[in-house]
Amino acid sequence: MKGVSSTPGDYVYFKSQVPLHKIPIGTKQWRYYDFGPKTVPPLICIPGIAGTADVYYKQIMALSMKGYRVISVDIPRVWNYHEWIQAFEKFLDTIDVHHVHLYGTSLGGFLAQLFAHHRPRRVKSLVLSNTYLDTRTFATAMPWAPFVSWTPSFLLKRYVLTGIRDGPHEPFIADSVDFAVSQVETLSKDDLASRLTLTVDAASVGSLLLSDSSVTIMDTNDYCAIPQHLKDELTERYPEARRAYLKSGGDFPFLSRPDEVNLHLQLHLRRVGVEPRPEVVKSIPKGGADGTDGSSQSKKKSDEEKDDRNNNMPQDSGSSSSDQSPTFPESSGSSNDPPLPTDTIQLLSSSLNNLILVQLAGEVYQSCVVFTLCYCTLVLVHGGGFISRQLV
Amino acid sequence: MGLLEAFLNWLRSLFFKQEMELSLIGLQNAGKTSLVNVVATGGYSEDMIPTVGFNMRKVTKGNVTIKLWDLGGQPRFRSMWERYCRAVSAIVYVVDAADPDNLSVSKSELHDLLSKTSLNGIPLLVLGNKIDKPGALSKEALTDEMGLTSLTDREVCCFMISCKNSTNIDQVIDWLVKHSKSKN
Repeated sequence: MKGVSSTPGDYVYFKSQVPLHKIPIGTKQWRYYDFGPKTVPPLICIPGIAGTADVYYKQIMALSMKGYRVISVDIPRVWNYHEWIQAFEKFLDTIDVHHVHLYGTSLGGFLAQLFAHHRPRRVKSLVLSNTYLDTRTFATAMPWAPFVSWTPSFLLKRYVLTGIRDGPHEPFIADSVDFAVSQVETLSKDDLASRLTLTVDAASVGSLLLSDSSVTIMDTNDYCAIPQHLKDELTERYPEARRAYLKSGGDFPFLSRPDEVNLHLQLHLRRVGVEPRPEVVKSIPKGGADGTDGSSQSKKKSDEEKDDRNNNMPQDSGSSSSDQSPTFPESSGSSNDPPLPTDTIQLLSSSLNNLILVQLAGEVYQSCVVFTLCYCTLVLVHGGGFISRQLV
Repeated sequence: MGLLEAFLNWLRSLFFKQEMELSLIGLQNAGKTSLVNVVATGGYSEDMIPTVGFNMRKVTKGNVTIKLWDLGGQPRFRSMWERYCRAVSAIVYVVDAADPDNLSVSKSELHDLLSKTSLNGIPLLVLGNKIDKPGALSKEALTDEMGLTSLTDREVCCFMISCKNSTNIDQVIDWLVKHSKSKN
């Protein structure tokens, strides 16, 4: 698989340092990263359709080093906006975060605005990047939306990926597209179906209680999947918002232009009064970055870190530690995983290939069956009509 | 001949809107954001805050829309200059002419930037700002100090300006507008 074999080095390093949390809340499975000093109000990153929590790894690394707390989430499997707001609120309650700063790109930006509209007291500020105010345009572009949950996943993936502009890119943008595509490959059919359903679920952002001064709009100026008139509508809605222009960057500026995006995020957080705590940040040595040799070392590191974290727990208020305790077993489990040496990755990729083939075959078979059934019904109905016409 | 050309230009200007993109760079406190304000609105303010990151302003002069990228001048932003200078109609480099101590840094930053192959052939406009201050360099001295004569692979032009008193700002705008046309 292309995505696995070309994993960038800093991403491998990120995976070895930052634990992935997977927790069920209610009926939803949440998958997220949470890194940086726990006493700082967090910046929560919400990705678009073609993204997972991992796409913000450059922001997590850079901003947490500067003493900010960054949380990055996968959009959970929700099927409408009402469900999204409830699920996200429950998620915030579970990780014991009350006030949040949201950074959302495309669909994520739309979800962030909806949450800010319906839960005005929880959202302190918004960073909106290449996003929009309502879903009408997407609903008309996808007339087959009612059949999304029956569509095989390879078609869904193809549909999601057609949104990404093809053609020659400069190296950084090409890398960002590769990374995003490799993340889309990890998504299941239901994940994709739920996200596509979300993009066409009729909704629009009402007026926000938030003042424009705590909104930053960060658009790329070259091209992106969101049509320009939708982005213009958004800027008109928040006339006093700070504009952070990126001259270029494509659909995934957080991957292709991390230095600029991090700068603007930092500026935004400073403007809305988030105080970083750089003194709490433990310096991470650059040594354990390479795969095979440093694995034991980085494992030790992550263990140490976990210990530190546990030691830090009592410093937080008592209620928070009791609330957080159920989330710890899962998270520590994933943080204990040593980074995979390269040969296992290759093995994994071939087995993954087989798996995908099997899955694909299954789906083709399934759609064949559905098609045949439909065809039979059609023939029957048609035949029935014919017979009845004959009778008349 | 000249008359006919001028007439054609005028005719063309009636029908076509032109767009140009500029990047505005230079060391911190050279007066880049002040220049944007003077060009855009004619206003000048004594106390400016340093630009952190980048600003973008669109200014319409006649039928030319100028998209100005006003970039922060502090050392940590200088690595991003190149990206913002790619494919612009002209690079405007602002120098504080009344601050001789920083001229050598300013010179090396400029030459570093122009050595990038992605910026080959883009016209350069060097502006010596703050000539209202006593002790400001003359145009010849600035050209010499900045090593502008060694830049032969592109069009280079130099003006001495004062954003405070709006001295020579109209010349700058003329030059810019002319360069949007020559590009089309």
